[in-house]
Amino acid sequence: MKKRRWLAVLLTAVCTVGVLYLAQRLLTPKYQKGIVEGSMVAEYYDETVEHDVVFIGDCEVYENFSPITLWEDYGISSYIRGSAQQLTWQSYYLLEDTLRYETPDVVVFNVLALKYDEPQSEAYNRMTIDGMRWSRSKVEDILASMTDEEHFIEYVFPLLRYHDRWSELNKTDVQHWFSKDPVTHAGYYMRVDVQPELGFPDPMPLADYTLGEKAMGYLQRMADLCREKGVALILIKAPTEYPHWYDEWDEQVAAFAEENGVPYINYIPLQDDIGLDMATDTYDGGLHLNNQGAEKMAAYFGAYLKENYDLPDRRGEPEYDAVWQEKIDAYEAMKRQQYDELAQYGELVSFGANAIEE
Amino acid sequence: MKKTITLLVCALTVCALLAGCGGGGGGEKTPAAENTGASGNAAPVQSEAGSKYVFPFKGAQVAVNAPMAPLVDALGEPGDYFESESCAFQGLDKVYTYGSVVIRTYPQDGTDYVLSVQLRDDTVSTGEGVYIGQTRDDVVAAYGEAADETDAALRYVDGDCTLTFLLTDGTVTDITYTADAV
Amino acid sequence: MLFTSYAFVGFLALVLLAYYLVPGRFQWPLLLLASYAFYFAASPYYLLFILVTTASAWAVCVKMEDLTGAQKAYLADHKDLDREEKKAYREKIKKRKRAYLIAALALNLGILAVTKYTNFVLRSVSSLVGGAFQPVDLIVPMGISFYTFQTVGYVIDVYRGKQQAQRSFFKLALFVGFFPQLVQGPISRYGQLSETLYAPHKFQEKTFSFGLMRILWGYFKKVVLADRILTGVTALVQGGQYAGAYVFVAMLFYAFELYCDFTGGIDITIGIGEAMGIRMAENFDLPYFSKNIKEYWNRWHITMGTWFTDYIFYPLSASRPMLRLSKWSRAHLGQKMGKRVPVYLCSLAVWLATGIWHGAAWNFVAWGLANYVVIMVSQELEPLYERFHARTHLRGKAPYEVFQVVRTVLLMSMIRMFDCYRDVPLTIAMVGSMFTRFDAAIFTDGSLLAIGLDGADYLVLAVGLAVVLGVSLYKRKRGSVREALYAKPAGVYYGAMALLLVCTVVFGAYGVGYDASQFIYNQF
Repeated sequence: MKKRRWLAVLLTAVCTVGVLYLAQRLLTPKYQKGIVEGSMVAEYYDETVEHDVVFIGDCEVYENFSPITLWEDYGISSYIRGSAQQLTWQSYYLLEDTLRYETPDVVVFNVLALKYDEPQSEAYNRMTIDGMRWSRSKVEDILASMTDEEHFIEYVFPLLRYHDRWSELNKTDVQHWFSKDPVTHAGYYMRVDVQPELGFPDPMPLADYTLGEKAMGYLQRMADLCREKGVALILIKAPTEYPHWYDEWDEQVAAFAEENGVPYINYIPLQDDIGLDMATDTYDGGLHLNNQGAEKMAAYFGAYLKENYDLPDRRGEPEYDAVWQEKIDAYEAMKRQQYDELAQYGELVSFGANAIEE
Repeated sequence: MKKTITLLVCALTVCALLAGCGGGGGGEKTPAAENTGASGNAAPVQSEAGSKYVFPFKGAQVAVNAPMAPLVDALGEPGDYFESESCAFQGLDKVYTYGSVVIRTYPQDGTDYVLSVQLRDDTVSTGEGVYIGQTRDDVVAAYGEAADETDAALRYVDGDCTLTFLLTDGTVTDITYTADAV
Repeated sequence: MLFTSYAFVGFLALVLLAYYLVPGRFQWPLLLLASYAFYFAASPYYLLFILVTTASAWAVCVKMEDLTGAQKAYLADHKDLDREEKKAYREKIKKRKRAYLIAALALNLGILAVTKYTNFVLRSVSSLVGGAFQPVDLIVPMGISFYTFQTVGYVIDVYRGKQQAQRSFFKLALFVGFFPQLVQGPISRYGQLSETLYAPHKFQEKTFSFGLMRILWGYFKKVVLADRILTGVTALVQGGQYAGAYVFVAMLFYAFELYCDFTGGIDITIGIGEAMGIRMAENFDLPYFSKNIKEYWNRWHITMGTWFTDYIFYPLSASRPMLRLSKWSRAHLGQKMGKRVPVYLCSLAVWLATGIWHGAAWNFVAWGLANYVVIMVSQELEPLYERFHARTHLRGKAPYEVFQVVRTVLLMSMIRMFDCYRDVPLTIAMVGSMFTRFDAAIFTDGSLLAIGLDGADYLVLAVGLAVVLGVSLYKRKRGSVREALYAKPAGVYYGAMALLLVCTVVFGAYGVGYDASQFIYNQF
């Protein structure tokens, strides 16, 4: 009798944990349509080949560089580990995380995020961190990123964070209860639509142009880590002009680069060299490049990489060919779908704002 | 009787001592919480923090963290308007330019609130009468000593607003009201 | 550490685990340690306050008991004293004991008064004289009203000889600072709580799981229901733009919220005790099933009510000035009327105290007075009711009882609006508007979906209300729900518990987007 009671306790406990686990999977956002940025970080773990170049940063990397072009033009196997408003320390910890799986020749970091020195937004934190596999890097990332309203345990058990979504569950949540579809192309977020740049408001003068200590500290750690691992670090500022990149910031990054013996390239003044036409190469009025722009940017950047770094041309290596061919197919298919939608509806319907499920 | 008095005096002294511990402690209530009484949590009155720093403009009172829509009604259509979608569709950041005044907003739960108000030339002045082109001393005369002062800026904080005067060689070159994180 | 914080849940799990791992004789010291850690986590300063209260109570009670002992010994040794001498000696000892009692009361009630009421007094005075009010920055230790009352009750009991003094300082410290009840009661009596507080307890599946079940039930009411409806209550009573029928809605919502919040918190408290084999006093007995206000106050916040009765009402009634007044009024106003004067006066004192105890604001004074008036009026009308009942034969009939219950709940809810709105005039205006500007359209035109609660929220609240009501009805008719479940197969019993847990986790109104709302009664 006594034994049977304990058995019941045990069984109930197991079932409860099971139910809670299922609920957690169901209630956690899937980031499959519309807002896909939350899927980006996790997708990396599905990669099967190594990458010679890894980009880390925010939207200024994952929307502005097409790894497919880098492959097609130069045989460079690359990946973008970016996510929405990825803060500097989040980039650092993603770098740590990446280095646990592979050691690329080159790591490229986009410096825009240096303007933020404090945790910014719970939503972005979750999109950036939730997809990471558990490791010390993730733990430290969470601790460095949490806003006041957040709790560590809500990262351990996302159900505690997302339980409230029970009333807004949609078809995607059920469809992708246990599996997710890839949303990026080696970390690249594709948009083929066009919304020309019409100018930006004047930048606000700042009282203090010094880049924050925390952000710069993590940039230093990034440089140190790369040095230690024998990885070449390249600092870039993507060619897009909004949010404004102040000259004073530029100087500080340039000074940092010089001190640490790493290159720093600001691509804003190089728009013409790249061949960017911001009337046609952006999908959101100049904030980010569209597919056409990202391909131009990748072609330009690839040439720089080839010239300055001894990167292998992987084309012809069967393993790489197979993997990248698959990526190219998916890339071209999505491109076609997007152009078809543009032709048919005048705007994208399965991507971006129109695809967000209420 | 004497003993009673002694004990009482001791008791009251301890009382006074303990009560004097205020200030440094961790969990004391703020006066605002006091106002709502014990029902504070049953029915918390939203912090109407506000700030004394408000910018009077075209007959309207422009305050940070205030909803933007009524302001647009009051100020009319802006001369220039710019909006940018933040990454992953977390809302539109908007910039309204009314000649010499630029108002930026942030979205929260579907409503736009004033993030900052920037005064760009001397045709407008702050609620306390300071305008661009005046000197540091003019600012201090109007606002008192700044909470935070450097060669490049004077910063005043009240409630949920930070008022910043940027200086170049002691002359005000820019005035901005900024919302502190709420 | 709020009950609803992750930290507290973790803390509680650790304490429960440790409690059954250590040998029985270390269980109560462990609880003391845990309680002080709990209080320390809130603020180290709080610890100072509670230590002063504990130390004073301990010292005074030991001293009083020693005096009693000395008196006995002296009288036993001096059998030759005559009556007058004995009496004089007793008087002398009594006086000394009384001095200690007064000192202990002055100290502890003084601390309570200073920390909680200084700003209230200052604000009231300054608004009278028209000066600008500058609040004084004071620490208000968490749960000070509760532990002070509990301690004062103990000291008075020892003084009265009803209770032996606890001679172990640490044991007394545990009584004063026992963490589950520290923040919101119940206000335990030493005699009752000490029976199980210090005894070693072996793990027993039934006791432990009963405790756990009650904790979960408490969390369910608090997190799923109270915190969810709070959004609506907050929206409705803020600013004062929601008048008329909205006030009626706010009144019902607040009644529901307060009930779930307070009884939920007490269930967690008592459940924690139960899980450790410790029995605390019940604080509620289905208050919303009361048929009149007097009955309501016997079933709502019971430990507070009995405290006021035992330590204020009775001593006040039996005090010399009261007896004198009683004599005088009976002589001048006649037997019938004269008897009431002192009772009414004492009740008035109790209700003023009750009001002010709930909060340092005039709202609460008004609330206390409103309760007093309603109780007195209904007492005065008692003969009228009797005649009415006798003539109509309604008493005991189910529909009439339902009417009585609904009437009582509505009346109490209305009075309670005093602690909802910003101040007394606004409360009166709003409650008034409920009668003058009642527009039933809001119930059908979707207005109620615009107060921060959506359809999903209402669904949860409706189901939750049904569950709470069902459990209450069962309890009233048949008794313990837990016993009934326990009699079923273990799978059903534990399944119910698991269901409660899953529902609380999924449907709870907590986390990002919800303000961590404290238990309302933490602040008293």
